[in-house]
Amino acid sequence: MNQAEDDEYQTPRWVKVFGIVALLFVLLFAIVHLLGGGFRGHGPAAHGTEQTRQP
Amino acid sequence: MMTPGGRKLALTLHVLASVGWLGSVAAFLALAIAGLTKADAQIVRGCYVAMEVTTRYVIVPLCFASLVTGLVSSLGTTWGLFRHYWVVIKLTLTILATVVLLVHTRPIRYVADIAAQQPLARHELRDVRLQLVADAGAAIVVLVVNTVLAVYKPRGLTRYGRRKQREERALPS
Repeated sequence: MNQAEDDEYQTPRWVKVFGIVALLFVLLFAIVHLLGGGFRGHGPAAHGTEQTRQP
Repeated sequence: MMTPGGRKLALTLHVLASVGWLGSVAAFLALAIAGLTKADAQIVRGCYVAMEVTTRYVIVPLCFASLVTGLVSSLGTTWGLFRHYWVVIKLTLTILATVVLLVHTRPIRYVADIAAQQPLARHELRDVRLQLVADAGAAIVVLVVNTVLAVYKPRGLTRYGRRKQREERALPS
């Protein structure tokens, strides 16, 4: 394979499809985290608040 | 490059670590679902304590073992680390899964600590407990994808892989 062939080379279709599916999966994961409050942090303060123990 | 014996040893260790990681995450998912849905307070407490122990002593070590043995297998063979798309994707997914796992050890420990002290009410920490189920499910998807990539090894050289291949062909034998 020479330089010209190298430049014409296309990324395999399965890689493109995989990339799109992976992106959707990451978005779904992020949305689930946002709805669950996961991005507020991962410590007691983040996951506690109104749901934590009653005295 | 590794010797044939070294390659087989590295591959065996990599398969053991990766399959073990998948299995331990599946056990974690079962415990996370049981912890969320079971009515018996003692079972729920046991689930979260077991999840923390499993994470600390099984999942995290297997995760790192899988990453290290995978790197050794790739770098010690002609597959390389950045030559084939499937290797690059598998490495990326493994690194992402490792980071997400390490980030989530803290909430796991937090829920386990509370569960160890006294029973958890059904509604208590529900978001976090639900989150652990979702995280474990996502981890299983990623690890299954990694397994499929490792078995099928779909074709496709990266730009770097093609350049290296060209250079190797140009070398006098």
